[in-house]
Amino acid sequence: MSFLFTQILYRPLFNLLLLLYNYIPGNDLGIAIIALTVLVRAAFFPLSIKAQRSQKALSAINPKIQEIRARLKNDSTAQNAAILQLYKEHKVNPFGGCLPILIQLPILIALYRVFVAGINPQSLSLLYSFIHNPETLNKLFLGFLDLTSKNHILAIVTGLLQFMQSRQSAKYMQTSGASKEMAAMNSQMLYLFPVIIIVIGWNLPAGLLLYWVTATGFSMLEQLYLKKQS
Amino acid sequence: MNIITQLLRFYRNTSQYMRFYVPSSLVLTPCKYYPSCSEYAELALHKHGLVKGGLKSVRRICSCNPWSKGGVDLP
Repeated sequence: MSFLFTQILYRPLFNLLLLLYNYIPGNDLGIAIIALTVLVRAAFFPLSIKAQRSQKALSAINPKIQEIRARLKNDSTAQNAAILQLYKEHKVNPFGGCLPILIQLPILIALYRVFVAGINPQSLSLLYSFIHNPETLNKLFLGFLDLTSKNHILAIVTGLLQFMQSRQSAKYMQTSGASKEMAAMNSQMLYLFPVIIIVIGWNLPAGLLLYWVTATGFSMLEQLYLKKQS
Repeated sequence: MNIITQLLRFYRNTSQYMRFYVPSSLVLTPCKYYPSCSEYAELALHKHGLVKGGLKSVRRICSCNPWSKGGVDLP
């Protein structure tokens, strides 16, 4: 299992990181991390757009579902039929289920480990023969930000960016249909989640924070795209 | 039973929040079933008890795969 994981996911991603490092002018590990993150996120772009649209459509009909549930409380067959009808009318098409998560998780774990390995290269032995071995990696992002050490300012920036992204996303979803309990929880989490990110990020090497910042920035661009389309 | 219900609700709220607001790390696709697995589990546990309800919940989670149609499925 771990052999498969290494050969199928970890090793190709690791080589891709080094390839990007070698070919992007400047030989900057930070830029290679950003580039690899953008590539992986771009690969998931169609799925992500579809998922967010579908989620929005679902949350839009949520109040109607609640209403049906309350109205046909004692007749579960009629309830089923009414909800099914509602899904059809609004062309809500929840797809995929939990399979996409099961595919993404190993990729994310591999990506995380590749970044850790890039930051602390114990060996570059997993490089394919056709990838040039740079021997040492330049770990000063843009010449001043050390990717291997903690960076509290970057941790705070990451948290702030996460807050902005969540708020932007909330605007797009407009979860008016959320239950009271849910709405309260959401507004709490809107502030709490970025704080959690800062707490976790406080002791992480800056290279990993750079990954999170890039992924969050990419999401914000995705949101702009979604907004333009609708 | 109460603790299980609380845990299920906590999971549901957190995952809902992640679905809506934090798509940057992981793309979470909407559930193909209605109600969602956590709501289903809550209903099943109350209706059929811990053993049968639990088994029904496990069956439901396993049926969230590419070969199932999804849709409305109540315990």
